[in-house]
Amino acid sequence: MDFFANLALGFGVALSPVNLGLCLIGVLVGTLIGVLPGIGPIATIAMLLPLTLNLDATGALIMLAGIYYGAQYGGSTTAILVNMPGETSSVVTTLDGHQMARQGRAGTALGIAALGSFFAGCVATAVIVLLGPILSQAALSFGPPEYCALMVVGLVAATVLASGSVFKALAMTFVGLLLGTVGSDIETGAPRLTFDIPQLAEGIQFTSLAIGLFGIAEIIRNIENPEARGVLGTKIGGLLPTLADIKQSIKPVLRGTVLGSILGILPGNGAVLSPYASYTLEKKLAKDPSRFGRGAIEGVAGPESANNAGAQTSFIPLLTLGIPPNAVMAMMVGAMTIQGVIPGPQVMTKSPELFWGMIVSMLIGNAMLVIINLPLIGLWVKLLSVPYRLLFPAILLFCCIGVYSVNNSYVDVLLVAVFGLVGYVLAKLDFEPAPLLLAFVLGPLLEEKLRQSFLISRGDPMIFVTRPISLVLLLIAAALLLIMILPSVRSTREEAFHG
Amino acid sequence: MKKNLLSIAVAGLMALAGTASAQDYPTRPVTLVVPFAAGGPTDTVARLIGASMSKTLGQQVVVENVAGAGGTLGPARVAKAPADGYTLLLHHIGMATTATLYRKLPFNALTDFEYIGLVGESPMTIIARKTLAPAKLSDLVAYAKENKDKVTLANAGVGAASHLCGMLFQSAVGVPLTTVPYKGTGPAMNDIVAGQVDILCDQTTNTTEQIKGNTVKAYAVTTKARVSSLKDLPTTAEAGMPSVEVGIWHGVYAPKGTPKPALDKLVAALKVAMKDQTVVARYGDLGLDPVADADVTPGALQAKLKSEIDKWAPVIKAAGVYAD
Amino acid sequence: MLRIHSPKNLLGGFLLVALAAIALWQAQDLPIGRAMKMGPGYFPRVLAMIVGAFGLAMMAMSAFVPGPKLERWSVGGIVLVLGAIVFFAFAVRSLGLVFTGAGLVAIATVAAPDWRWKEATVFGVCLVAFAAILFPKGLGLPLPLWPWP
Repeated sequence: MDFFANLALGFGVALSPVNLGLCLIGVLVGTLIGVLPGIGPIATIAMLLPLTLNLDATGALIMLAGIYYGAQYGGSTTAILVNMPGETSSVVTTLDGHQMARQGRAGTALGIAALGSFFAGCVATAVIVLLGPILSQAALSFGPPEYCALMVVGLVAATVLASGSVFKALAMTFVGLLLGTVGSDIETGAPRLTFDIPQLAEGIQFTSLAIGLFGIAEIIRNIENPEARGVLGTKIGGLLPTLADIKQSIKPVLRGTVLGSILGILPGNGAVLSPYASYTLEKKLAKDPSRFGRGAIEGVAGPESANNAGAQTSFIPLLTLGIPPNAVMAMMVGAMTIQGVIPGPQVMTKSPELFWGMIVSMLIGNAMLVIINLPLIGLWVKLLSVPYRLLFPAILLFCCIGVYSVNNSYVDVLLVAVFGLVGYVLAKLDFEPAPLLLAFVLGPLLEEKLRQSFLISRGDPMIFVTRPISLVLLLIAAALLLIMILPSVRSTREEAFHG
Repeated sequence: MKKNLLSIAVAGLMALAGTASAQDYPTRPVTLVVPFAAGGPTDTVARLIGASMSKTLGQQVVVENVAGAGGTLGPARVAKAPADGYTLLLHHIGMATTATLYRKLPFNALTDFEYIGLVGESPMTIIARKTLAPAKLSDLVAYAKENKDKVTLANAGVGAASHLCGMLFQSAVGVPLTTVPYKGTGPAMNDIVAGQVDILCDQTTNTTEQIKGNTVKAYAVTTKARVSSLKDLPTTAEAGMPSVEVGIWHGVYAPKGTPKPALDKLVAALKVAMKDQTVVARYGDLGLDPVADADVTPGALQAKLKSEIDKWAPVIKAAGVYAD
Repeated sequence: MLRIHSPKNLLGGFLLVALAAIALWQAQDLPIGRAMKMGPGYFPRVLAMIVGAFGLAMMAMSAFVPGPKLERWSVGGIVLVLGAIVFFAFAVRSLGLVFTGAGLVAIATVAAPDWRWKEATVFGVCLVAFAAILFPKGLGLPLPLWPWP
């Protein structure tokens, strides 16, 4: 295996001054746009895609990859600072990251997110280099029944995201599943629960739902009781994580990296599960799980690492099989085809300089991200000292522009308002939105894979238990459910409703 | 980035300075609406052509993605846009098939638009998982007939290219197969490569690299002539299935009533784009054929649209699928 | 008459039931199919029924299990913040980013109990200028800046 030759080739390409510059611009612009509230990686990449059109293929992809991690990191920053998740994965970050910010530990949260992401990114890149092709072949054995079982595990874990009542978390999970069914039926194309609004035919946009439920609801609540604004009144602690913080985070980061790397390789967007899986794991392993949801640093370190590792390894199906596993990667395919590189199983052998150059540039991009962002943390934290009466109209404006520009659809913006109201009501009634959001993402996948499984097996449910991977996953789900329900059944009176 | 900012700023200033008359068209940036998300194959075509037309027209052609509702929101917006030549639509075969797939549409493809020209057709290929036994298309048909309860046919969702081709394929085989729908080409292709499902008919844009990489089995290409990037692959007619002839064609439209001088300039710019070196090279990579001069005309597009609506209406009605 | 011990959970349960009812009404014409060969209506209907069951259970238990009272709701904040978003949604295509952005900022600012004229105006102008320069100009997004072409 001429692994070192390949790596050398990659460094040769990625370290050329032009490509280094493009990587830097990508990371920087990605961070700056991604940090605007309401603008997550998908919106950022959609906005910045045209910028790369005039570059050569390798340069364009290096810059796009830079934009991607930059946007991811920027998205986590807004999740922590203003409780505004721009994408699925930062939902988890809001849970404890924003609580940390409210306690004056925004700098610590941002710092640990950056360091954890950097570490995870490096490990995941090594995984791509060493094992990419082998792993992608193995991941192909994940067919519809296996995905279906994986989604069930994810859904069961969804309830762990809530820090309050298990009963209410379950109810929210089912509401999320129900919202996920809005849109055209996959098999017949029949519109479901769309109220005859054509803009709903492709379902509710994730960004509209997430920004409404979390961000807008938060704004209304902050206006309502100015004393509880938290972030602004508190004095801001140290800007960087202390040694104790880092010590506390090492294990979660390691576990998150492993989880994220594995889930990211799955060709059907397993990466969405990685931060949730990591959060669940950390909460279950913690000596005192009640700290979670109240600013536990492990709840930021683990999921952020898992997220970045998953984001990185989700390049594996794209680069080795030519199959994009998620919306962001599908956009990468678009960028590649515009550049005349059609992704497929042969990219690695046909254009090695592009393949290895891009992989090495991931390493460099991750390093740049840390170097750029550690100093920026001070600036972000300072932003919080802007009076809230000025800050929130700005947040609203950026949200609206961001949501609007993905599909140029005014309905998507209207939905932000609708879900803002829903989020506010949910908060007033002590329902937590995180399980709803995870179920909303997993539900359509679950239904799609379930129906595909039944079509492939001709209606035979045995397909789920005769295939070993699917069987194991279902057993895990059953075990998780038991672990979760048993303690809460015991203490129904207090915990079931408002524990 | 700098170039982008500068050119747009200059264009904006010019727009403010000049008073517009049809003769001076275009005096400000032109919006090209694509009814699908950024990064998709249709978006790619639009951005390639838009870049070339920008040079010819002397104004930026800005691509606007108006995605949603199976690609029907974009045409609806353009149909209602002011007919001044500053809002255009680039759409694919869906312009013809949605006319039947949707029983109520807020626009009429045949009466609400001016036609500018055809901009390229992408062939489709019939592929299968590598381990499927039949070696030739005729064997595949026989195999499908014998095992109609076992054979699965993947598609990328209602109205997708693979869904359309799949309907034609089934009517040519003569027996309905078990159709397994996916959300998008990516996951469908994944399960073909992994051997979870049997057959898929999709655009060369998506299949060529997999065929060349020998991860799938290819049976035929669905165009009249063989495609240059896959020379060894017979056409469906050669393989004995002439009725499965389908290509994903694209066209550029303007709202009804757009002034003739503007339309003429757009047709001329589109003709230049079809000969633009970058466009030709990228088309080659994508397996798209640039359109001959004679077809980059309003008449050719109008005729194509009409014949395609007539061709697909019975197929879709027979399959009984509607998207609303 | 039953005494309600937990008004919060009564309202929460009621809203879940209402959501389920709306979903069932919307899904009424969709074919259900069977578990092994699901139609488009299968998933929405099953889920709606489960949500409804959760809602009923919550309503029932609110009569027995004590829980917190409802808090004060800030109607003004809701109307202004959501109104600003709705204004943006409807105005952005016809009024252009500058006027729409200014309108959104103005409506939202008033929602803050401690807003001040001068400060808000200066900040709002800077903010809209920044957005106008960044998005349509810098990034080339197809957002109109002005109501006129």
